[in-house]
This record gives sequence, C-alpha cells and structure tokens, in this order.
Amino acid sequence: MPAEKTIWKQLTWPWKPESELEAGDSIVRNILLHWFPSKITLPSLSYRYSFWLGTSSAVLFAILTITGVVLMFLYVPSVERAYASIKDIEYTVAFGWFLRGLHRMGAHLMVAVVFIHAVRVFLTGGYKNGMGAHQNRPVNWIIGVVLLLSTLLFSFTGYLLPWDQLAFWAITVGTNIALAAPLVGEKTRFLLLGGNQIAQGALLRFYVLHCFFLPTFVLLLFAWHMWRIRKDGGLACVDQLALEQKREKTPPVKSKTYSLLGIAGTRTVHVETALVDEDRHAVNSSPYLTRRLLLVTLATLVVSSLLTIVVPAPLEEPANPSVTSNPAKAPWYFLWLQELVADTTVRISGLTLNGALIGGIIIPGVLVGLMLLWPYFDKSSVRSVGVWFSSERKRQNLVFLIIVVLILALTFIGTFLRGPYWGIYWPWEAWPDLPKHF
Amino acid sequence: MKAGKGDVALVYALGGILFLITAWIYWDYYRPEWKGYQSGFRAQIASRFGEDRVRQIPTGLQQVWVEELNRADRCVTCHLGVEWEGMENAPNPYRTHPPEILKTHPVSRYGCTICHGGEKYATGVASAHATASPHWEEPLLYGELGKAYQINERPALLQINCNICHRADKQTDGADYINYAKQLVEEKRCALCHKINGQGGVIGPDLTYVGDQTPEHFDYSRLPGKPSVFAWHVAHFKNPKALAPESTMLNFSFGDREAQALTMLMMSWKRTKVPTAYIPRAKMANLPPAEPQKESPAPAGNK
Repeated sequence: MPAEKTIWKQLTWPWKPESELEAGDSIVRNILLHWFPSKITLPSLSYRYSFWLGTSSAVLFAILTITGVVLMFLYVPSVERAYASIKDIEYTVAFGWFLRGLHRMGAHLMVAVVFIHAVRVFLTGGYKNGMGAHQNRPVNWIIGVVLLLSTLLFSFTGYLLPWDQLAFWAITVGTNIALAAPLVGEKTRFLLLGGNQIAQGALLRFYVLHCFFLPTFVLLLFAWHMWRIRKDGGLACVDQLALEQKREKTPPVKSKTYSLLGIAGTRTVHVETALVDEDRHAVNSSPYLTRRLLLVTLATLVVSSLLTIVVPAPLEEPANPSVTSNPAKAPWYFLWLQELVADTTVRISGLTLNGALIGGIIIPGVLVGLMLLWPYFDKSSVRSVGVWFSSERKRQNLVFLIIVVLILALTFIGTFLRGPYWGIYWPWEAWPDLPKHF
Repeated sequence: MKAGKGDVALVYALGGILFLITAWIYWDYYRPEWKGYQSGFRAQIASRFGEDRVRQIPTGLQQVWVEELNRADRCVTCHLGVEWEGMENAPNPYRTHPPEILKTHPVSRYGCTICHGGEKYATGVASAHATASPHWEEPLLYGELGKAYQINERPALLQINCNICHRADKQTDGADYINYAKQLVEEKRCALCHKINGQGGVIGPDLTYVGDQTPEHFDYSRLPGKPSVFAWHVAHFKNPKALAPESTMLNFSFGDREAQALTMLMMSWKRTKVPTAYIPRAKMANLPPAEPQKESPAPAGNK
C-alpha cells in the first residue's frame, strides 16, 4: 500500500478498494478477513439462497460474548447473591437492563437462527458434496449439528443463572427429562447438577459451563465450520453454478492453487475451487462481501436491540425449591420435548406410564441420530446440491418439513397455550387467579 | 455490478436506526422515574425552606444498607423527606415519617422494607411497591391494601411485620391488632388444640410457623373472590367448616376485627430471619416460650 495513504484510508480500504489488486489484498492481508475468499460468487452473496443465517448467528454469538463478559463483572454465581445481583443489574447498573435484555434476547434469537440455518442447509441439500475435489460437506453438517446442540446447551445453562423461580423450575423440568434416560440418566443428572438437587453445585457448574467451556468449544467448532466451508469450495450453491456452466459447455476453467499469502513460492495451501468462471459469476469480496457482512451485522444488531426494548426480560420471585411454579415450563426450545413428555404420559386407573423416556429421550435421540447421519443416507445426485427444494429430494424434504412443523407446533402449544396445571388456554382466555399472600 | 445494489443505502439506513436506538437508550437513562420525584422534592424544599436547604438534598440513587438485615432499601431515593423535620403535611412520597417510631427504629439500623414490605431492590413505583407485581411476595403493606381487605384501621397490616421481631412481647406499643389477637389466643385457649412455640395440643395443626406457609398450601375452592392467604385465614376464622368441611375447629363466631387481627397474627408467625440483637427483650407473654430459645444441653465431653 502506498505510504502516503491516510489512516482513514487504511481503515476503510477493505470497503473501498481502488483496484483489483487492492481488492484482493484487502482480504488476504487482513487478519479479520483473510479466511474469506478474495472473490465470491453471486449466488453465495444472494439473500435468496442462504438468508445469511450463519453470519447472523455468528454476529449473535459476538453480541452474546461482549454482553456476557460485561455481565460477568456484575453477576455473582452464588445462591445467596445471584438473584440480588440480577436485580441490581436491572435497577441500579447504568444500562444494566439493556445489557441483560440484549444478552437474553440474543440467546433466544441465536437458538432460533441456528435452528433455521440448519433447516435451510437441509432443504437446499447444502450438506452434499458436489463437483470439487476433496469435499467433505457431511462432516461440516455434523459439526453444524453439534453447534446447534451446543447452542441449546449454552442457552439452557444460562437459563439457571438468574436464580429465580422461572430459572429454577425450567432447569428442574429440563434435568428431570435427562433422568429418564436408561442406565446413564441418574448419573448424567448428578454430573450436571453436582448433586441430586439444584443448589449451589448446580449453579456453579452451569456458570462455568456457560462462561468458559461452551464458549471455547463453540468457538473452536465455529473455526472448524468456517475452515471446512473454504475447503469444500464455499457454499453448496457454487457447485450448482459449476454444473450449469458445464451444461453450457463453456471452455474449462483452470483449477487454481493459491500460495500462502503470496509469500511462499511453492504450492502450500490448496483451495479446490468448483471451477467457476469467475469473470462471469463472481465479484471481488471487497467490497461486495465485506459490505454485506457489515449489513447483516447491523441488521442483526438492530433487530435484537429493538426486540430487547420491546420485550422486557422477566425476573420472577427468588428460586424456591418448596414452591413449584404453576405452570412449570422448560425453556421454550425444549417445550416441544416437555409437550411430548406430557402427551406420551399415559394414566390407566392409577398407574402412570411416564412419557419422559419416549418423549424426552427416545424421540429426540432418534431425531438427533438421524440428523447426524442423514448426509450418508441421502443418495440424491449432484444435481440436488445447493438447490432449494430439489425435485430429487422431494420426499426427504417433505418428511423433514413435517418433523420441523410438528416441533414448531408443539413448541407453540407449550409456549403459548399451556397454563396452570398444564391445561390448555387459548390466547384470549384469561388464566385463573393464582393464589398470593395478599 | 448487480450484487451490491442498494447495500450502501441499507448500511446507512440500518446505521441510522442503530444510532436512533442508542440515542433512545441514552435518553431513557437520563429520565428515570425517580428523577422526577427528586426534583419534586427539591421544589418542595425550595418553596418551604428556601434554596439554601436544597443543597443539602442528596441526588442520584439512594439506599439504606443494613448489613445485619441483609437489606439495601432504595425507597429513600424517592421518599427523601423521611427524616426531614417540617415535611409532616407534605404529600407523599415527601412526607416526614412519624418521628416517634423512628426514635426506637432508626432508618439507618432498620431500613424500610423490614417493616413496610415492598421490593427493596426496585427503583420504580410499581415495582418497588410490588402491589400489582406478580413476582414479589412481600407487597407494600400500605393503606390501600388494608382498604381492599376492609380493615378499619387501614395501615394496620403493617403490624404483621412488627410481630416478626416482637413475637415474644405480650403487648407491643402501637400494634393494636396484634395485641388484640394475642389476647384472643390466650382467652380462647388455642393452645389446647394447636401447638404454638413447641407446646400445646395436637388436634389442630402446629401454628408455630404458620406464617411461612405458601399460598399454594391452602385450598381456595370454597373461598369466594380472589384467592389469597389473608382472605383464606379471615374466612376460615369466621367459619372454619365453610372453607374446610372436614375441619374440627370450633366456630368462635369471630367478627371482622377478630378475624382480621388473628389473621395478621398467623401471618406474622414466621421463622425469624433477623439477628438476635433485633429481638426485643421478651416482656414475658403468657405464651409458651419459642422453641429456639430453649437452651440445649452442652454435649458431653465438651467441657
């Protein structure tokens, strides 16, 4: 870069390159951007293909990390102080309500966005290998599924921390479902809670999992997830582009080998491209990708901030093991499981068959197992890679969608229709008055 | 190039929205509810005592921290006149607290919520008074609540909290309802059927810590109106069988005042969470002594 460039210019050049060379350099020579390709295909950039859900969830993770670290300065993970410290964050810390609200809203949104991201990848056949050599998209799908499960566990461990009735009973419901697992159930719950009850041991374990182990784990998996995308030649839609190009019988494009940052002369890093005619189908990542990254970041921030302002974060009474909340509900993303447990619990004249094993362990276990292995069962051709609702994958997409809709329906029932004593209440029906002291 | 069409405009638009959100959050930060009350108080003081006195008024969030009681009461953020002389006839939240009781119960040692109830952490009216809040179990025991329960002496509900420390008193100055209830307990010989403080009969339930029972503990199916522990006790004292047909408790034909007083006494019988220094020396009520006061014999070999 010419020496006379101003500091402002140095800061903005990834967004305003003045030549092809500068555009390429601005990606490759930038530590924050070097993991992106220097050129990006138009379908990868489009909203219609990916909805940018992966980026959005990464932005949410960043929001959660930043707000979470600040909250760590204010929150005390002890059963005596936890609740009071949250009250202080709400009432006396400058912008504390927003900090906590944004962290909570970001967490809810992240669960939702990561889930929708997984649905998108399934429906577009994004986990399938296409034209490029050495692709292994099924592995990235598995990493993605583990990231989804980690996100759920992340949110679940955070749910206990306010130590109010909502937290205590949600975790009670959640961990009691784990209890139903044969052989390992009791041990798992004991390990998770650091005892048989939700008490100081559980609070500390959840806190350490939430603030150290899960962030580290998710960050490592995230890096692997991104690295695999590059190794697999980008999003699956790029393979579709290459396929179309092949059909058009355009002259073949040479496979490229990039040398590491242009420093080493020998072939060091192999990036297998899917042989796309870059002149026709691709643009410089700077500024097209970087700008859109900024756009998605801003949009995610705006949506989560607005929701934080509109929907206040609840804080119920301090946790009280001797008074059960009515209704006692698991966090919303586990409510489809609680609903399943409730619906598969059968009472025959005094004999109760607990649905926790079927609804809480077997059904979700089978679903997660199928999800992990599905790429290896899916035998559709390369024409279904990176295409929305491919006709070849009609049946599997349909079954998948039915399962998704069922999960969403059960979640909706559990969240909005279940009232005291797990009775059904329509949104326009008032819940009965619950008893109070006065 | 088609790809970036509109992106720049969108970035500016979203950036603008984000700026507005930030501006709103800042604006909101600088106009909390309590600031209005603090400037109201300053205006009151200025008009009554002149601008000089205004400088003595603290600004910002205020709290009374009582370490022994594990309480940080933020009520004084708005109720700034509590210890000011000459604000006796001022409107609330600026009124002077009746000074007599503060002589023996100074604010610095007791705070506010130990007697008055309410949410100690909160800094807004609705949340602090916790009267409509579904998530705070100790609402402010103020006159409006007494009115709702048709108690003649409206602020009398406060006496429930007096008796947390004054449990062992036979008579407590200013706690008429509680005093009356203690007298009734003696007269009607409740301890014949009920265990109180470790002594008494076993026909009825142990009443020693009956105030700790949670609202979920009671059966409201025969109670008209909104279910509450207070309403349940009042109705039960008036006619035990009407609420619990299987109850063997006698119907003493208690009137409103008797039932209300006894209810307050019941709700005050809780496990004490205050240090012993706060418990007044018992003036030897005729009730059996409370269990925790019994000296346990020193373990053998520990001399």
